[in-house]
Amino acid sequence: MRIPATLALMILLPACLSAAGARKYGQPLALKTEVKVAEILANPDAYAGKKVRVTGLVTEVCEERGCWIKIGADKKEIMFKVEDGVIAFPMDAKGGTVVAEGTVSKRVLSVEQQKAMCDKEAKALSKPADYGKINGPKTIIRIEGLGAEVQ
Amino acid sequence: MNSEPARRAKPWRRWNAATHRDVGYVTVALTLAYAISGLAVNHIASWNPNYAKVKEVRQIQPLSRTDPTEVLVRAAQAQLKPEGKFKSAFQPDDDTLQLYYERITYAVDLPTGKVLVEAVRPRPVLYAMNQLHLNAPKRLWTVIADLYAVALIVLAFTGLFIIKGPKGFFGRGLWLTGAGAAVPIVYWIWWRYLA
Repeated sequence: MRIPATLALMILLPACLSAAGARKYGQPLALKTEVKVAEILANPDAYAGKKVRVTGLVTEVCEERGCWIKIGADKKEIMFKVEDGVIAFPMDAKGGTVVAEGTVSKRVLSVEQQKAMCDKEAKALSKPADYGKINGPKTIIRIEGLGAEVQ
Repeated sequence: MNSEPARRAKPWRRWNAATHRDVGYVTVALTLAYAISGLAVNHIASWNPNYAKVKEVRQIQPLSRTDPTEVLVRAAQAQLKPEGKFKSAFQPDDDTLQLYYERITYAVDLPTGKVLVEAVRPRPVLYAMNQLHLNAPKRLWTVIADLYAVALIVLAFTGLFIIKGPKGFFGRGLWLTGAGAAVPIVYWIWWRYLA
């Protein structure tokens, strides 16, 4: 009886512990004030390069490597990208509440840059390049993630 | 009788073989886990090695896009009758309502009532192998992975000197080792400078 009981404890204890609190990823959260996702998206130039703390729902998770999540609040979403291999978000984070910190980045991709990315992707996937979605320069606003807590 | 001691391997070679054998025993499970996970992750572009995903489209009565989210959630739940624990809901835009349950997401197109249901479940065993391979646990696993890497180096070097003679390292071994080393070197040069 002891072995099954010990095994059950080994399985259940981590589950109970993880259920008890927020799951932490990356660096500990340090900022005191929060910025709304909508505020960042509305004024990207004011926040570009600055560290921010945002709260919202995890609306999407990178299925392949867990290397990004989308944080949604007030009908707006922003990508929270983390370094590959440093943080890996699990799929079951989807729908959870997240408090996250990182640096806002704003990039404007020219048509040529987008085509080059399409070419690279097509080469990697051995498929013909598809320029259909490119219609002018594209602005990408995202948070380069440092740390997050998901409940 | 006199030739018997001469046929016995030298002490360092016996230690070398014993080290290779025992380190090999200890690391065989990790080697299989990393190798299987490596195969799975290598083909990440063609399949998801971590999760099995099932998609389904359902139809419910259209919902009013002007209703508050709480009302829409209750109306959608009444029609969908989802199973499992409800986590949260989100509206990415005025026409869409997303309901999050444990491992199931419902994306409701409010004007048409069309619902995309996505169920995700981790692939048993393979998910665990991939997480360990990618060092998701960090902390102590980093130490274990480092020790494993050192063990692989030990296995590589001790493996070169298991036997002596024409089939040993200084016989055919040198050629085969050279051929094996040429694979990454030639490929890198081709990929980096010629392709």
